[in-house]
Amino acid sequence: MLEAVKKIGELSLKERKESFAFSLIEEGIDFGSEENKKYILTLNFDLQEEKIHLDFEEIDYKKLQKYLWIGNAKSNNPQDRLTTNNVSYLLYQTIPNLYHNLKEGDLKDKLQSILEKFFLKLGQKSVYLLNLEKIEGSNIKVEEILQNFPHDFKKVKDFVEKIYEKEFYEILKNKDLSNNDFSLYSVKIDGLAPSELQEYIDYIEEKLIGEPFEDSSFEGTCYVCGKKTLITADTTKLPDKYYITKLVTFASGLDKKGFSKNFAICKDCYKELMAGSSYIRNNLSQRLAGRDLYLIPSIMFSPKEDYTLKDIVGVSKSSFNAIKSFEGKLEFQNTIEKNLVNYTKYKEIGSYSNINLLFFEKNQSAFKIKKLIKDIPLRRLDEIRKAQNDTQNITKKLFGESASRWFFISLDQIYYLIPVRIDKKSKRAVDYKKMLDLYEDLFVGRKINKNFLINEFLELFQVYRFEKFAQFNILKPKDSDIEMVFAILKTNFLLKMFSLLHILNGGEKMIEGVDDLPLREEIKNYWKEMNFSEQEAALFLLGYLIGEVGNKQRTGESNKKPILEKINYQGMNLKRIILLSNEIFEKLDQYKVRDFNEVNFAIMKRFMDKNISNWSISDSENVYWILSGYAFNTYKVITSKKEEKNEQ
Amino acid sequence: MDLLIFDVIGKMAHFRKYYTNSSSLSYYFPPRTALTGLIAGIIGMQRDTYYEIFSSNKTRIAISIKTPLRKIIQTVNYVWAEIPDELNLSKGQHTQIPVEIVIPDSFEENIRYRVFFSHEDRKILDKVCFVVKDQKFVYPPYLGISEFTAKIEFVDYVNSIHEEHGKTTLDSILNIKYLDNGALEPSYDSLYIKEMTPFEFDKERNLINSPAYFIVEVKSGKITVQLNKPYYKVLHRKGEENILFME
Repeated sequence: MLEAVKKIGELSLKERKESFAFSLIEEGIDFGSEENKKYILTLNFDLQEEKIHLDFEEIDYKKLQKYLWIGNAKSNNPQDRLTTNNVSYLLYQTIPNLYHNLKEGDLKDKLQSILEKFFLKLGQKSVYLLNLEKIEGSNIKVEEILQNFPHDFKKVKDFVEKIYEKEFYEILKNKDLSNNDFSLYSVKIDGLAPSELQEYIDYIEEKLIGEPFEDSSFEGTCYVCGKKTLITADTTKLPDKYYITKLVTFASGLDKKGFSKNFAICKDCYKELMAGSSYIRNNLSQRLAGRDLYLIPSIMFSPKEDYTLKDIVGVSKSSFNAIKSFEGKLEFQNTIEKNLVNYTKYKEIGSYSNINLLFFEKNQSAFKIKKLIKDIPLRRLDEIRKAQNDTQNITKKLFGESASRWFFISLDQIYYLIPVRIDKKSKRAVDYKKMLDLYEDLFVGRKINKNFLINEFLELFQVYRFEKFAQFNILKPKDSDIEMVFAILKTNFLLKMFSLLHILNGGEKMIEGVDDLPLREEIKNYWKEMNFSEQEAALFLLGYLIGEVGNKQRTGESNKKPILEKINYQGMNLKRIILLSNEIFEKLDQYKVRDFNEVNFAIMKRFMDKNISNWSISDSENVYWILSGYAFNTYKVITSKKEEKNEQ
Repeated sequence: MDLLIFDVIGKMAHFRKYYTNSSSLSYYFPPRTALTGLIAGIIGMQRDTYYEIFSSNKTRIAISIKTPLRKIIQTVNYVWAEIPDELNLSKGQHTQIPVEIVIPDSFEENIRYRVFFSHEDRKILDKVCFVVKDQKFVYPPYLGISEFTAKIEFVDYVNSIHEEHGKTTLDSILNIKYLDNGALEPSYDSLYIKEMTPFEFDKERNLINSPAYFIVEVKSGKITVQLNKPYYKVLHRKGEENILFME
């Protein structure tokens, strides 16, 4: 993984051909929407007029570069970035810190003037505070506010954030501006933005790369590129901290000096790793299964042609998104499959590159890896895409063109077919591991246990049936009964897709001579497409008959289907299935639908009796196939009613 | 060349990737540094005393994976100690570390790595052979961390191996430098993983040489490939294997 991050960094630095600092631009900032645009507010220090002019510009990527937005200083480091998303830093910390850290030069002189002309020096510890009276158009009386200035140095932060910052917002208010309009705040000095202040750019680069080498570098072999040069074990400036040097327990010999024997890197690799991480964060962040994820392309072999990073990333992203969502699939079709140049590029790049999926959780500076699915060949994504398309074609055949979109089994969709428990307080998924393991099995082509899936599906159906939405990752729908029907059929298609990919354990021999059975064509087609065994088909038909009774019950006075209470979602053994089939026979009579279903009942009974002595389906699976038949019947009724309405 | 062949067997393994610790990822196989550590341990060499003895110009080691593997992540409580004095848990704090663990794909099985070991010093080779055959380990073997204890099973001791050329199906892991572009044959059921591992330390435990890139196939352990250097055919009591040393 590290080598992939480094490679991305190397290409990113090579292709951008500008100062290293610009490769660290953070794009994850709120740009707002068309109706509600976000802006960057600048405090322009005019040294001649001794006034601060407030300007604002609409945020876009170019502005992020202009103002060199690379995030705030991390952890407890002093804030020294001229562009920030927290205006309080500009009111008291940034300028004094930057002035203190800068080497002698023009910028340092200017900052000294700024401190003298625009800041107030307060308290015993000489805290600098921006003089709000210096802002053009301000009618603030600072003296009055400062009556509350704390004597205790530790309380200054609170004072600035809770009192002084509000006064600053008052000035904005008087100018018909609101702090909600701004995502970023920055500084100009005599009209020059941070990207125009070379000394500031040099400072940032030195700060990020130079510091780790200042005191703790030594001659050795770089643990990344293998060069014998000056290396450092101080990795604190690397983002995404899955390697730390804070705890002595990780150091060789339980001595912090031992970190130099664990992992030490040269300046070039340091830069490339930082640039790579920044690029990945900005361009390759994704969400899947309610979790954060980096999609990291890696190159298994050197490419024959010099493809750019944009090419490689573009191909990796398109292939992944094509299986992730229906929209991604459409985009893939339009931009890659229908474009010969792009398709050739896609095939070429796909032959030597892989992707890594890094699921993680980030909490302030802590970075915890939840799962790494490594080196997935792009051809595997092709195979998955093909299986998705083939499954979609089956749904088209069975339920028509318009329904096929609803039954498209994307990666996103799979997440909603496996119930994941959500912690009520934190709203985070608790048992997410099974989900990530399932994705891994899919990506690497490992066998998946069918019983595991069936049990998960039954739990899902219970979420719908008993409305347990608050505890799970399933959103409460308008009509739980109907959504359950959709969910059941989707799980059928998920099984189908997995079986097309040959990753499903188990599976019985399918029924012979389906075409000769005196059943409705739609049922026979479903069985054929889904490769049902006789046992599965018997249960499916039993479920179908339950659907017949249920439909009658729902169209009666009540909107409910009491027949569904006969189903035990924990599983039903064969004895109970036989009892249920007898009960259904009576119900068909009771609701006067026996005449239409005698053949269905007879075939169900025939298959059941034939297999009764060698019944191989588990109790859970029995219920699953009954529910599948029920869902199939109900879906047909719902759609035929819709069609009738449309015709009228 | 005389070659000792033995299997290292266990239920779980963790070979930490050196650039991860607060989330500890694992290689699928023990890198060369871990293997020399394991061999040094079973013959009773002290920590940090054996790097030169098992240097790459004196020792040849190859490894093959004999069981399909997978990985899981489990969160483990580690002691929180910023200084050695806090190792006695005096801070009363712990830290939760996600640890990637290698396990066999099927829970009924064990992980089984096959090690091919040769050393220019006959005495060392004999000593390793003796402890492996007689199961008289000075320090008990384990798979990466001491919690994951391992068994060692003697397979064979062979006196000659045959150099072969051309396209082959390798049973061992493979250094990527012996591979030309496009020379790796993918198959529907293969899963190739490329890993960057440390290769060798000097006597002070500082890295020497570049980290090496190895390719491993984690489902069957077999890699069908056209190599740009000769490989070795090894005939032993349990069959025939094509290997490349980690060098």
